[in-house]
Amino acid sequence: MDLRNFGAAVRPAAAALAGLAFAAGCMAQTIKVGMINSLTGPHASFDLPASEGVQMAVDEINKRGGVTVKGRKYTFAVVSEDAQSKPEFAVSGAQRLLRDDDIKVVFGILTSGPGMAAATALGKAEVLYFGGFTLMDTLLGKPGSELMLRTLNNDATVAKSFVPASVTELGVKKIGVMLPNEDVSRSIVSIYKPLLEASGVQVAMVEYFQPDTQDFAPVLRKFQNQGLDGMLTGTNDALVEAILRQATELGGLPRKFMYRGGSGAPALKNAKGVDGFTWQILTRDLDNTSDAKVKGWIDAYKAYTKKDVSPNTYWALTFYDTVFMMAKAMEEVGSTTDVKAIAAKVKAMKYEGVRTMRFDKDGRAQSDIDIGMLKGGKVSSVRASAM
Amino acid sequence: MSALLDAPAVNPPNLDAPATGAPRAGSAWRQRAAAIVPWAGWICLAVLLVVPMLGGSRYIVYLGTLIALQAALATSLNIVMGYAGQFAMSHAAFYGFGAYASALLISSLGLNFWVAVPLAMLGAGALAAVVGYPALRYTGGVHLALITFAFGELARLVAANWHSLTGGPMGMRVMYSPSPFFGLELSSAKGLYWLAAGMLLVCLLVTLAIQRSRFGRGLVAVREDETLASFLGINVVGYKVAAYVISSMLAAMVGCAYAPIMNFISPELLSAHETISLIGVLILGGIGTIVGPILGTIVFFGIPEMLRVARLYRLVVLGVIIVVVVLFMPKGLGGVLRDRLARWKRGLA
Amino acid sequence: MDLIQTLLDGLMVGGLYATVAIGITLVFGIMGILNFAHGQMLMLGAYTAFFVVSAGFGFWPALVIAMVAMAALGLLLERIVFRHTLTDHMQGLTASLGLIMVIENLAAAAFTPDHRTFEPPLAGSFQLGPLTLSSQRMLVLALVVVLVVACYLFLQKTRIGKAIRAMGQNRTGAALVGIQTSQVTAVVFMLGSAMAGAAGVLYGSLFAITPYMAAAPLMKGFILTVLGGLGSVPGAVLAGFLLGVAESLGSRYLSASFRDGYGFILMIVCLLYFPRGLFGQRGKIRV
Repeated sequence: MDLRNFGAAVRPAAAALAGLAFAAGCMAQTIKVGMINSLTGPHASFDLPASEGVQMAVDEINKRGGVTVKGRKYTFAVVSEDAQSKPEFAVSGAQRLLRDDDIKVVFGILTSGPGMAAATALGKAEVLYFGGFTLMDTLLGKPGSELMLRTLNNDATVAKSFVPASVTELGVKKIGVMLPNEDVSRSIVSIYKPLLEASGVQVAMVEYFQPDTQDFAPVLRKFQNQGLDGMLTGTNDALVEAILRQATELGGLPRKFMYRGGSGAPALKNAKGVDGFTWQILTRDLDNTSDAKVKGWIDAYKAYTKKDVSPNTYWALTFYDTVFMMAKAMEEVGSTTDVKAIAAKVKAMKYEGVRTMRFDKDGRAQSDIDIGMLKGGKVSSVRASAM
Repeated sequence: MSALLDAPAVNPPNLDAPATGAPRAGSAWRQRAAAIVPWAGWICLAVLLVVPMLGGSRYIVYLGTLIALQAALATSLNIVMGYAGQFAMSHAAFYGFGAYASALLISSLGLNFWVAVPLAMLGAGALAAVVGYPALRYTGGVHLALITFAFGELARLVAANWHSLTGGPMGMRVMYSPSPFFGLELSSAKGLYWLAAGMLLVCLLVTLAIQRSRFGRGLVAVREDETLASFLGINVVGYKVAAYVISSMLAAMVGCAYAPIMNFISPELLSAHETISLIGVLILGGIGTIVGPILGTIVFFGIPEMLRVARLYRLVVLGVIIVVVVLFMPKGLGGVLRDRLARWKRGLA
Repeated sequence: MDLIQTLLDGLMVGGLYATVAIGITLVFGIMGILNFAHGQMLMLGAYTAFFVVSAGFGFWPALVIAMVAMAALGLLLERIVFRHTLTDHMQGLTASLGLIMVIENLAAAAFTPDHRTFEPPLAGSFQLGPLTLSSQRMLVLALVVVLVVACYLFLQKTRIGKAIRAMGQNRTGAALVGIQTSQVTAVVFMLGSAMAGAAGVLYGSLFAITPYMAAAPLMKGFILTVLGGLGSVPGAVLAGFLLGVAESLGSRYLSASFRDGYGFILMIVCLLYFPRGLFGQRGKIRV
């Protein structure tokens, strides 16, 4: 064989091989991200938008090329399970996610009932879990929960701004509290009552009703003729809608409400019976905003989901920014599977997304919120900064 | 519900006179071959039990644990519903009672798992006796069905509302694992699987023991005709209550395993829906047979889970099956199989 | 004042329960079958009304359509399933359990578990002397009374009604005097289902509609059937009003969390110590 010919043959071959290697390096691998949410049932009003937010974020990351970790490209794929607003299904959904050994990160669940159950299962399995439900707060900071982060501010932080703003806006002096008979309710009362009293409001009565109550008349009657001018109630839209509707029917009840919960929908549906209504928007108010980032996000949401913005859409921002934080952390840490390092990285980050996101060392979110208000038929909102 | 008494599992029954004339030539080997079937069944069961241990799939172990638990529960219900013929709609309530009782005994009083289980069972038994005795004094199924149904719902309401004790409607987290059983560690996923499988075996053994005993035959007599049974000198009420109590105690025992396996107990565990599903599983698999509950559980849980069929459709299909089976095949799959086997043995088609 | 309002509430709720219980007790009295699937007629009646009202037809047409539709469904079920289980009551019960699973889960799959509500014909409250009364609730109370009275008249005055009562007293005897038992059972199912459907519409006008809403009224229906005596319609109705008032007073003045429990306790006590109920003639053989 002629050596010169040999050289001439080898060079293109080598170039081809190099090209193949380069291409192989460029071909994206997939990282599976788990998601457990109540896509059906009364809690779907929170969880469904949240799930859309995750899908949206993942889609955006993939469109811009995915993440590059240690020279390799990765895109994300979301594996979704339905918790059906019930603790048992939350657990079985979490278990189904866990059966896939590739899933190392899980997002989901904004309500405490299903949330506590799922968190217990996920905690045992050493996956990085980003959740949103209230009682998650009681899990954080304890040994064994280093891989758990809550992406919404806790009640105590929220209430500190919500209570004074609501009291000022509604002008109430004497209120009653009406909540479902659940653990979350007790923690709500223990936080809100002192804050209300500190704002000069008398909390005349606290009543708990059976959580699956349909007929609120017996409980509502307890609030009649007490000289109350307002009520604090919760915890999800379906419940509060029914309460407002029946309160309007019964008559003789206060017409101003503070809703420890996230949307103005119950008041809008019962507008005739309501004089004032405030609620907490734990992410961003989408209806009356001048914030350019929010406006841009709204357009992206509409394009992605082909849906219009509804009173509950703002929950989609629960995990949206956090997904980007996770991706960024993976790149900086240089691993897609070292969950401990990724968690630590996320906790050390400050991220200016649509929300300004930051976590403390225990995984508690410290972000700012908006407070929604309906008065005299007009809807508005006020921004309250993080602690 | 008019299935004949199960023949003893081991010896080929030579009292089993053929329906039409003398057995055909060559059916003797059929009889011997058929005698092997029960043994084959036990071997199959043993194999099935071991399967989750092979391979390392987290999921197969999880699935196996779930199926073992449900099968144990169905087997325990079979005692009062299949053999005694009584409609006990409170089964899920005792299941939940066992879970809550053992969880409370272990978490609050610090008792050892193996001490809490018998205690929970005793509590369940006492409760069952108190509820069952007045209810079972009457013949006919309706009174018992209603009382146990109401009791079950009442228990669920209590569990959902007695906040300080049970954590209310959003349930209770369970963080303990059973302590080792004669050196066999039980806190890992595989260990918990053995716990569930062990409970299934216990329920099966109790069922077998009853089936072969005088008590068991008396139960079947009660199931077929209560008045006649009392004329034969059988203490009908006593037998019925005993069956109900045994069933409920076993349900509580299985409930004690549920708590550490799922790490979470909710009042929904006690709901009538759960009991109705169990009844459906029993009917599907065949009431009054040993293999029935296991077969029904595998078909109802295992297959859809593996095919990832949504729970709603699974229940719809189960409902349709219940109606169809009740109308056309009252003996269920297990019963039909057993009849087929008996006919084959005799050399009939 | 408060007491009167609570009493009226109790009567209204009790009347709703009674409307459901009539179907259960009739079917049990005539056919010996405890139909667990009865509650599903209520749920389907409510959804029928929801769709009819949402389509723009108004409440009263919705009520009529729901009752007719449920009567038809009842007839269908009786023909296909329950007719064959006349001889074995427990088979009938079991079949009804299967039916619950089918209907409830099909509804959940088709309608999704979300809460639905529709606009009731009357809104708000009105003053009656010193009382503030909810308009829609009073309408429901009035309608319930009308339904119960109509049912009573049907059973007392019409030929078929008398045939039903005859069958309830003695099936063989009724057949001997020439009553078409198959016709009667069909009518009983239709009547009971129509009543449950109406109850569903009324429920839907006040409370949220979900695929699982049948469970609570069904339980109450059973309780009433037992309290009133298995097979006795007047008993069930009276027991219904009593239970409704007891629940209302209990939730208002005692604990609201335990509302459903009062009924169960009453029922268990009654079953254990008064097996014949308040008015029933059917006893059970003690062995």
